[in-house]
Amino acid sequence: MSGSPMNMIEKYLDRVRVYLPINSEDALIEIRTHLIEEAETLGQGKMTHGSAMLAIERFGDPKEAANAYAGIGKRVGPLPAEYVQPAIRIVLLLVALGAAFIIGSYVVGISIFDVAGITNFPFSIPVMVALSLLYAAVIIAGLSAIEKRGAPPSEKTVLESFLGLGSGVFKPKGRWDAAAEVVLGVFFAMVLLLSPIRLLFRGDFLLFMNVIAILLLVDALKGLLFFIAGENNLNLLFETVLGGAWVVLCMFLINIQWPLEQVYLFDGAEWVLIRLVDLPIEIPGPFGGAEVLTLLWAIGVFIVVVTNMWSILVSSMKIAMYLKEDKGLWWQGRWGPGRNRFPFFCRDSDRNQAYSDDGTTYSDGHKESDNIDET
Amino acid sequence: MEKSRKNALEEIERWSKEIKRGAASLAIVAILDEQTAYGYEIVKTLGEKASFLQLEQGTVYPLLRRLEKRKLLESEWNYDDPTKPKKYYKLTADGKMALQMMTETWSVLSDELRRLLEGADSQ
Repeated sequence: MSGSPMNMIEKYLDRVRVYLPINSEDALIEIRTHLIEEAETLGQGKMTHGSAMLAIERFGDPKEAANAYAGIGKRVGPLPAEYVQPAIRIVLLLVALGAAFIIGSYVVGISIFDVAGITNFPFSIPVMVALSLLYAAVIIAGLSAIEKRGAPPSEKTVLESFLGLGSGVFKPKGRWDAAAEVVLGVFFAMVLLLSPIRLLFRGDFLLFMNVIAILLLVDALKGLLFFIAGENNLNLLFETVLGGAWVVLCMFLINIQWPLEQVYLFDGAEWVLIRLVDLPIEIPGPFGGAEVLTLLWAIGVFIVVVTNMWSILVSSMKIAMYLKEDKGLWWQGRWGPGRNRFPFFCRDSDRNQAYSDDGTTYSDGHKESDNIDET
Repeated sequence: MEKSRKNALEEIERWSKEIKRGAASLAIVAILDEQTAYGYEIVKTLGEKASFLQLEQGTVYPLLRRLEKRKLLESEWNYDDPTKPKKYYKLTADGKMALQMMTETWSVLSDELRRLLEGADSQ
């Protein structure tokens, strides 16, 4: 089943997005509004499965619809114009991914070498990612050559699935994702500041705990700005600077050892504090307990560095993109598509459908088989 | 005979495309001279008032974007219905001037062509 009419439209837009430059959210929103209105007109005021499909078909092939923005039939170097944008995006993302991993490994590299003893482990990751993508490209290109196109226009081809890699990265942050950042940032900052929690950590880590709590609160503030104003250059700049602060903090954190010293255990009557070294736990494998904790600490720091570097690089690309469009620093920006966490935000037309096992019945009485994907 | 017809059809297709390409820009700025409108409204108005253009729906939006880039149009988002944000376009001063010139040129072009064609018919 293709899902709700709105879902079909979103899937079609994902196909168009594959061929558009990364700064095309405006164009996609315009097309989305067009498709919704056309589907509602065709469905006599209500968007149905059939009317959405017809609206999509009328709008045209996604590649051609996107191509009209770049100019039909152009070639850029050896590539047809329609493949230039996906290629640029994939290269940008690979470079960003590689840079994030290299910087992450630079920060924690020595510790990982010391513990794991695996030669060149972190540096080999971007190379492995690039090689895997190359293999995937060869396999998928082969598959697409023999692929028969019988699916509805809302469904991506195999090739588009590959070309669309990373296209979601450039969508603005969802409003409810921003709200979650606010709630989680404040919650974890408060947790870190509670004295029963601070008791668990080594004394020399407490200063860093304060810094982490402050950064979490600043993270929450950043989330609030995104929640209020959506994506704009000031918020992206805030995200970049904050990401940088996390990376700098990690440079300090990697030089201290695993900080958790004690844990709470329930002894049958009450919660008591037990030192980790006193726990009667045998850790199997080639490493002893201390080495495992050091490795876990290094991996944790590595993940924080890589995710923040990724965020810095993607935000920087977006800032450059918006500056090129003369957008300045602050404006009422846009939020990315939500994840429908709250069902009451669904569109009326989506609610107007009733699903049954043998197909979909619409409020206008029209009934369709659900196996449209297989047609 | 069949080959000649095929050639003529190919030529008319090429010629129509070129005529429509120029006429579409003029039609859009003419629509926006009367009122501000968002993409879907423009597409619908073009379908009603300029059906001869037979524009693919998907080609109108890139055209709007290009006209905006050339500063003939300016736009503003309207979020009154957050599920359907609308980008409203209006003519700029440059756009109004361009429309006036385009209308005059079109008028001269069509008058002269009509006279030319009438002359060809009478011969």
